[in-house]
Amino acid sequence: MAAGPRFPIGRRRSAAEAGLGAAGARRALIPLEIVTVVMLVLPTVFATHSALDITTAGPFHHPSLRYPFGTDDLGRDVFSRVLYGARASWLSALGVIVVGAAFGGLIGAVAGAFGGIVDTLLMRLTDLFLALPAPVLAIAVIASVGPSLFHTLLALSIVWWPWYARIVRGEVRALAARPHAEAARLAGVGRARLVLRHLLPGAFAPVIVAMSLDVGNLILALAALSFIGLGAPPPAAELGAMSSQGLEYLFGYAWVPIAPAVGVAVLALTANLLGEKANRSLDERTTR
Amino acid sequence: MKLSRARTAPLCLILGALALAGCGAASTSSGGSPASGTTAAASASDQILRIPYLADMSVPDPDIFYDIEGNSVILSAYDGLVTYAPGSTTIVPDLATSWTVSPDRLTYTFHLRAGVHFHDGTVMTSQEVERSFQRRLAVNQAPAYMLKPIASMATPNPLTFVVHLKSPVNPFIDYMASSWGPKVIGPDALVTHAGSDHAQTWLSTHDDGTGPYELTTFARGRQYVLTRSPDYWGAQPYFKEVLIKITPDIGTQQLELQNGDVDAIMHSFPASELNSLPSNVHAEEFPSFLRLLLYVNTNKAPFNNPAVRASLRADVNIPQLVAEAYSGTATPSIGAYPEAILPNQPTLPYAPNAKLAAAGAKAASTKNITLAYTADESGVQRRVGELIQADLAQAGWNVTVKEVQLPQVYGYVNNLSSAPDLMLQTNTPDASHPDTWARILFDSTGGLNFLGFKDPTVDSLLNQALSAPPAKATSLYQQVGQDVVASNEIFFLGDVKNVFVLNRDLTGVEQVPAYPWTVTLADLKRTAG
Amino acid sequence: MASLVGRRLVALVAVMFGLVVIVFALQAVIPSDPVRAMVGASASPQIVAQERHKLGYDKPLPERFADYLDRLVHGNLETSLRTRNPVTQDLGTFAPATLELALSAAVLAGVLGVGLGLLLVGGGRAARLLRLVLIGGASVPTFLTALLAILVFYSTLHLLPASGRVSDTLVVPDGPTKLLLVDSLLHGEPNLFWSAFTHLIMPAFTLALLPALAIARTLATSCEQIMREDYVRTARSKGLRERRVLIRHALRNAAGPALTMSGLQFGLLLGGIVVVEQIYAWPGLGLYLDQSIAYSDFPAITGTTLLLGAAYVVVNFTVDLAQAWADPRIRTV
Repeated sequence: MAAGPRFPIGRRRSAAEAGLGAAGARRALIPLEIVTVVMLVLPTVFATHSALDITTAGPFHHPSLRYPFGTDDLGRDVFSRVLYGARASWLSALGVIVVGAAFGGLIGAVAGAFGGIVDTLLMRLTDLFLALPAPVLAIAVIASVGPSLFHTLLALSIVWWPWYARIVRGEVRALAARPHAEAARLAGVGRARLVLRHLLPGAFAPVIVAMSLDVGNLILALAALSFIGLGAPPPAAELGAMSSQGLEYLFGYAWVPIAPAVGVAVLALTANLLGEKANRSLDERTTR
Repeated sequence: MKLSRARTAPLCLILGALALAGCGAASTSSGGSPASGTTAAASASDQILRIPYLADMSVPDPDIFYDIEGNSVILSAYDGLVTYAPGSTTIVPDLATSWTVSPDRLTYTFHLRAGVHFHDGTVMTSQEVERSFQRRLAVNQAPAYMLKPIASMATPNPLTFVVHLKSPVNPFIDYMASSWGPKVIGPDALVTHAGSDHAQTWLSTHDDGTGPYELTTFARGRQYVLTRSPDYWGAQPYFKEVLIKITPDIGTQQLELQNGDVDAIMHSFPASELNSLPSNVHAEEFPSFLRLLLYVNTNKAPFNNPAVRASLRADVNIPQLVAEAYSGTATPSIGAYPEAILPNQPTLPYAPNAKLAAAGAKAASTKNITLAYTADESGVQRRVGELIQADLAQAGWNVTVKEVQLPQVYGYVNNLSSAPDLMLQTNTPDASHPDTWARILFDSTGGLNFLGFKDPTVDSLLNQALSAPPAKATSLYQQVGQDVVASNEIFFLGDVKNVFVLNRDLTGVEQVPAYPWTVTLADLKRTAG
Repeated sequence: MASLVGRRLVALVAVMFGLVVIVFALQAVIPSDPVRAMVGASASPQIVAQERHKLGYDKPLPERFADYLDRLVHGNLETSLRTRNPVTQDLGTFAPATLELALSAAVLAGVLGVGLGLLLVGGGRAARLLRLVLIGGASVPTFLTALLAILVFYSTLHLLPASGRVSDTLVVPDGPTKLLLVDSLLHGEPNLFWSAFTHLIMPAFTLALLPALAIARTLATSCEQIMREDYVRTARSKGLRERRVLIRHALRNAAGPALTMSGLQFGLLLGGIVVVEQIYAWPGLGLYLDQSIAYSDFPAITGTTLLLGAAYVVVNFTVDLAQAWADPRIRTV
């Protein structure tokens, strides 16, 4: 199971200090958006079959022009399933991250904006969750409530938010001390409005970078959970599940498990390269 | 007994065993010529047999153990009073050389084998048999039910053991032959190490049986060692030692078999690869009583409507489904019971018909249904689930397939309206008797009656059958079977075979259909040359 | 320093309590019937009820939690529904194998991480290429790494064994440490040591891979930042060689973040044991957890979770202290 604390911890100034705002966030978001759109479109354009169609080729058809990755144990087109699976895995990973970032962001924003006892309490709670071994906990959660895609995503979201709370809180605190926030406060802007309009947008860029760095980890985490039987149940075309369910054919019909496993690797690689790029561009702006 | 990742278990019942004589299942074997061996004399390592388990057994205590994985340990270390002949449902002597049943069927007199030694060295007498039976009742775990009908026991002499029942119980002698049936345990365990828990602690890592092998190491999670017992009463086994290694990944097992690091895989070998086996291994297939069932939840829409449920008969091409999902290692079921334990059952009225199937889906109050299956290593129930889903989708249903764990399945009866609409499960009776199948599945309180099948007529027929004269009982069981088939609440899909994949030089594979996944280890040999 | 230790200890207890609450809450919400599964299908309703009562599953939740806590502080983790042993005893059986594997993997991850991290520093085409390779490596699912390793090193090359902790015909000594590498040396059994060592290689590498890559990347990033700092420039301007600057100055100062990362990666490593132990048939806690999940054996699942959680918390606690010791600035924070 590949979950857990994830991004390189370097000494960097906060994005807010570096003067990165909503514009920086928008730039950081672009690659993520592009890949997501590609993922959405990919199956509809290139898939020759639906993910569940049982083709006329029958089970275990060797890879051929018509069936580039062969067919699986039920005679479904593996190529099409990998495309649909990539989409499902990508969206699932993104879903967990968005939920985690939203919840963590909320906690972090509240803590940062209120300060004092609220800050202390919320951050101690965050520390508590950070101190728990996320992968083990996710396994325990799913083992308890029973495996289903929803439960898996829920369990991962539960262990995935604390980092975002930390990041957002740090950025909000840093921004609150800056002159423009001070000016807004003096001008009588309310606290909620101050946070929403003036402070939170400043935290977007680092959050998005963290999100980009996370997608790859999430994809691997989902695959690992599927492998131990705690992931998406069939017939969902989810890459980790396809690969682990096909493992018994590894020696006879290797394409059935290998194609989706390579899919996982390619997807995670794409995500990691994106994350790396986003991280580097933020690094360059904040460390000079 | 249920086949699942958690392999928790089940049970069964009887009909005069003698009435069944002659309907033993024939065993077939495929593949495998005796080894083209290389070695001459059997060297020490030749006499070590290595087999993998996919998971730890729960405990090697015969009065608690109630799973499938682990049968080969229990049956190698312990003997019961009687057993089944190889490949058959015929009851034959084990520790009892003969037995008689009184005309009122209340008194069973067992004449015990002389000169049998426990692994602790003492000689077996009727006293140990009685003590073992009492212990099973005192421990009172799942397999204790087999002895509940006993009113009293007696030991008139050291080689005679007498049991009086409260009322006639047709499957009683089959209970004695069941792999989960009572085993005879020696005084080292039950006296010396009894402790305050009837030796449960000691027996969780030791054995004190009379079987061909002694359990000399029980390292949970790692390996169990069975060592040939020097004073076994029967023929001396070929293998001096059996090493059972916990290897939870079937792929790892396959590679180790191919490389000769294990000698045999006793279950869950991917069926699709049986016809492309490496040249150093061969497969042997035997009928078992493992059966694939489809449970229907009639406690909520849409299948509370009998007409809709009847249309399920037309949805699936069962022979094709079984052939595809099991790659030839299962056959379509013939009747409500395994054919070998209840002959002459009417053919099951299932036939694919696209029109009827579509009409059924159309009449349903909702087309969204859930199909659950329990996880198993070989993935076969998943495959069946997905194939059925495709068939049902064709008829117009919208099916969600989900994998569930066994303990969740046991929880369904407590809240049937939130249980799945359909459920796939592979079960086996505890013994070769129709009662051991019907009572767990069809009785309204049956332990494997997961989705609340309830028919007062069936309950009362089963109660009558338990004590009825054998011939009458047979017709009652048939009646029950037909009622269940007519209800369309449980569908009988396939009879699954035991598939053993062995190193090519292993011969002497003997098995009993009522003991799933289990080869008689004492009969295995390595044939060199 | 003392107050830091004190504060961390309080935090440690708080975290452990949080873990217990979460783990207990999980058992409470599950819809399954583990007692039924345990006693088996043919058991009468009376046996089920009696067993449920004996195990305390029929009591109200708060009472069960109080019972649970009470037993916990007395070192009692209840009885496994599957093995019928006290969970503490089972954990004692399975933990040494995991400890040996996790320790080896952690050392391996540290060594690999630092080595690769140093290679990454300095830029240049080779480093950039290596970085790409590492990102690629970090994208391969663990189960695939494990299976491919078995296919190559066991099945094809016949170099390493595929499963277990030691060759099945060797007699395993009972203690004193239960770590086979150590015990075999203490008992002077080179065969056993060699067997244990070869069995350990593939699982340890598979487990160490992802953490090593993460450590390497963290180390490289912070080294690069430090190389830009003034005192490093000074060192360089004094004519010290680049490699020497890197090792004498940058590495020491970059060790902090890398050490933190290593502590955090330990959690990742613990998560990986379930997959790794299953494929390599390693008789440790991951295997125990996996078998318990299939049985909904909650005492076992919670016990394992608590033990792994405690290990993780303690490791990070130690990392904190090590850092405070190495870097006096932290002590005042």
